[in-house]
Amino acid sequence: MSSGERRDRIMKNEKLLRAIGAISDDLLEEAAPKEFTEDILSHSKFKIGRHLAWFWRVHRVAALVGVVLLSISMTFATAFAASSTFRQAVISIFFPIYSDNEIKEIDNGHRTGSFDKMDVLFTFLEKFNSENMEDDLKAKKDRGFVYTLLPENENLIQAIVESEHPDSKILVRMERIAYEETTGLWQVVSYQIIDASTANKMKKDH
Amino acid sequence: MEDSKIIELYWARSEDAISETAHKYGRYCHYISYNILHSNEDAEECVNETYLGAWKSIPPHRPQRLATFLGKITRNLSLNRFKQYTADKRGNGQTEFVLSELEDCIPEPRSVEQAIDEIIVVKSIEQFLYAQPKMKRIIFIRRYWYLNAIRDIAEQYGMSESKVTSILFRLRRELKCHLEKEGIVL
Repeated sequence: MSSGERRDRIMKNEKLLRAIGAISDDLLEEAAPKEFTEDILSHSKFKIGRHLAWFWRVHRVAALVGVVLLSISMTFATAFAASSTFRQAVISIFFPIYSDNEIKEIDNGHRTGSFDKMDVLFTFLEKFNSENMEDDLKAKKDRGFVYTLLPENENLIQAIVESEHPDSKILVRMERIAYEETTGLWQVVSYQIIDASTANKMKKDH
Repeated sequence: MEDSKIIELYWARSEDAISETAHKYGRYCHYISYNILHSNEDAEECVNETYLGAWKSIPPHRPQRLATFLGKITRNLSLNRFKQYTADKRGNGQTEFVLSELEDCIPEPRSVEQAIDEIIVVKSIEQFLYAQPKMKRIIFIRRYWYLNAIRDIAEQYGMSESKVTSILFRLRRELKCHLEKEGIVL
């Protein structure tokens, strides 16, 4: 090839290279070097596409997590329904009020009072006063504690107990949990100091 | 800063437009220019000329995509500068290789006197590229628009250099056939 021909070819190549240089922005953005894509793709459809891709990825992860959680829940529910041992183990986790020794005592008949809600309430109130659980506030005891029971259902009961301060009452919440072959064990799950007007309203609403 | 705000600065003839452009797209323009010229100094000058070009053309232009608008200016300026250096050693980068590779795409001249309408050529190339699988299209543009080295393309897309070379060879051959079929003579 003569030098003239070669120069001619180069000029044509250059023309082609410049024509390629004028191709559409879409094509250029699509092939943008990775290190510049964030800047270059701002406000372009590819950025939206990337966001959609991200959105889709997040949803896929969420769906996967959902499936795993559902499987665990179903396995748990099946085991809970089918196995009494498992059921007891779960209950003991969620209501860890009684120690092994206490359970043994109950098994041996030493603390049958736990089967009686009033006994459980009085035991708690004695402890409330003796351990000074609330500073300067004691449950009123005048030939016995003064209280009003507000049963929610057969396994849940609230008691509004009079305190030594007329404007303050002790709201005690008790629940009965299943225990082997018995009618269940009562236990105090929470208490709260409330004012007299709230207590009256609760009694009235009940 | 968002592109639309930068363009507003150009329209308001605020010199902040240049600094914001440089801040956001300076590296990108330098990347394009350096791939052509392989000289930091020359690339820097081309990038500065790009800002000047943008300053002169906005307004009246209001580019939809500032990045590619600037990229095209940079590329053209850099190719112009390269042309000045073809006899010089400074142009020993990818540009000469790319130019020689593109010989494969030039159809044999059947009617030399035929005028070339660049828009038709560009549209035809776009049509060809859109007909290609995405990865091949990207490789072609990385090589012949961004003038990336084959090694860099292979590295970025996890391919061997020989595979990239082979893809490009086939694409050039197909582009030549496509242009011939379209009756385009360069």
